[in-house]
Amino acid sequence: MKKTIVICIVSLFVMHNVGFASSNQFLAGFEKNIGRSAKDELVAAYGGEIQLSLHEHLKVNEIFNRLVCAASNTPEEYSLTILNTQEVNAFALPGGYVFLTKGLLNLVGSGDERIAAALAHEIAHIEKKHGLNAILRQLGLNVMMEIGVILLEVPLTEAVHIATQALINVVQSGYSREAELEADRLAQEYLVAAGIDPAGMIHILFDLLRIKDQQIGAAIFNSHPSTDDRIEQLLERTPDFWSSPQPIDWFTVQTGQKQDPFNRFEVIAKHCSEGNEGITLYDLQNQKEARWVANLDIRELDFSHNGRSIAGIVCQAKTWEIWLWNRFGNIIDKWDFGSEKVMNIAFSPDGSQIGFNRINNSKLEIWVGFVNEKTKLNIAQALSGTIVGWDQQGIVVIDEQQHYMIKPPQIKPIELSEPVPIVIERKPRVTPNLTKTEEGQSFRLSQPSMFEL
Amino acid sequence: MSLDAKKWLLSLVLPLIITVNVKATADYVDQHGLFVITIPPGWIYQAQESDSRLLVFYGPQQDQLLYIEYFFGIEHDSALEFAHTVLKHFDAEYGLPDFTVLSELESRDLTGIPAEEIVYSYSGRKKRMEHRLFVINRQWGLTITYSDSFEAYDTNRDQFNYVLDRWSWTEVNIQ
Repeated sequence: MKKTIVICIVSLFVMHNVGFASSNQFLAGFEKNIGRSAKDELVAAYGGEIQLSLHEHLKVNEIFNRLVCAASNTPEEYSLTILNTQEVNAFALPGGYVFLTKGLLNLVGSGDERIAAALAHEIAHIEKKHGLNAILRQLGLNVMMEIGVILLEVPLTEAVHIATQALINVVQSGYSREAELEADRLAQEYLVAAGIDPAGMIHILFDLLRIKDQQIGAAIFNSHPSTDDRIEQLLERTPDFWSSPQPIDWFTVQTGQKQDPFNRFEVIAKHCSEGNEGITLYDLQNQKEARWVANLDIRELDFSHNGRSIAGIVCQAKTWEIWLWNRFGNIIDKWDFGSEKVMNIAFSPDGSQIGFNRINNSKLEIWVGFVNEKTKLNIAQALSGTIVGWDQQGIVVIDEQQHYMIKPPQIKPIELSEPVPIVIERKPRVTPNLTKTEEGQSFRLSQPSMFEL
Repeated sequence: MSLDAKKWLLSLVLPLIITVNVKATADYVDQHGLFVITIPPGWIYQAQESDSRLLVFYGPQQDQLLYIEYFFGIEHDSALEFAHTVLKHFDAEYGLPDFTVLSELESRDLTGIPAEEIVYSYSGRKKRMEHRLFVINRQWGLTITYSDSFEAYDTNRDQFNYVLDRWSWTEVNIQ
């Protein structure tokens, strides 16, 4: 108490004489100190640091470096640590310390934009000083205190110790609702600046929602806004990263032909139930209708440009759905729109997204859905036009005789700046044991054993 | 023909077919039109593990592996520069576990195109040895790697020499 009073008095005394520069310099040092101090405790609490395999390390660090260069004026201050725990989590500490858990990396697998989203969110916490502000609030201190501390030159170690404990509490219990939502918003800006799809932020939140009930992933939900609220905010905001509809000349664009690039399947007309005009797929190789679409009321079909995926609008019992199949007729995904009619599907050139019109309260809306994801975005709320196709540049829409182009965010593939060859080993094969029966006339397959060829 | 007679005939013919198949070598023309290689007897192309940037072959012995990786649009000026950059990563803290150079980088001529080669060991699922060649030509590069278990490497390595001795580039690459 006495110390605090002394600090406050001294602080008030020196306030007039200390410039912002020295104050900022001190704060930066203070941040680094408490961050470094908390880092050791956090690493110990989460099973220590783990070294990723060579290429995993290079990829994660490539993403991390792209993001810190896009987000910070001092990217060299940042460091990334992978924690050896299966808990799905990510942290940030003041001073540029970012942590991902092995559990989070396992959850997102090879989803680069998901890893980027998690990193961008943590970088945003650091850039906005959410950790520092939270502990200052928690300790009831303010900037004046630090000015006092630096001039007194005494209790810095003690102040760092107290602040470190407060910081670990903050990091483990989660930031405020406002801080989390701000970090989500800012993370998307960093992602776009780094040439990474901002929709990754939504994809990873859907992933977290999926594992919410599993104990292993519970810790990441400690933040105050619910994951649903965070997703809602991002679904509203992400379309802002698409361009506004730009008028274009129709002859300048080339959209897909809605034909099988391998010429195996042909789209033909077919009467659907209730007398509706529909279509189906005719398998030219087997000379008959493709078995896997035979019993469906299909209104439209489109092929991905590489021919690997097929999308169809299916209307059954007045329920509208978009189905996705691979070339073998296996269902990859189904999107259910209830009674809201969908039409005009168009694959993106890379096959990762599908544009479609959706009629909502008699209004023709322009949407984009992500293949194998739950994310769907209403990308042009001001325009009510018909999707014509998806050009290399973006979605082409026609409204009142005028064509428009809506461009997605500019994405740069995540490739290593210095190519490093892979190092592989022979894969182990699972092979059943062959056992000769007692009669010696036949063989019996028994439990598989692992061995390497 | 009775069942026993069929079995007898099969027992004569089957080993012959297998022997012919195992003894046969195969010329592999690469999909990008850069080279032609002769694969030693018993080696099998692994379609599941190969793609447009990687060719994988499994040898007849348990751990034998041959893989060739393509690098298009590479910015390194020479195979030596490429090799140095790669080895820096292999040897880094985050690199290959227990990475040890067993035979230093050496220049060689791979039927008309200069290459750098090195032999090293590392700990994977088990301790392994790799003999890797780095090649840079115009805007593309290759790494050609023979990999085997540490114990079996010396016994089996002649099979990699067999591949390298018969390596041929398509005409356009050596002009």
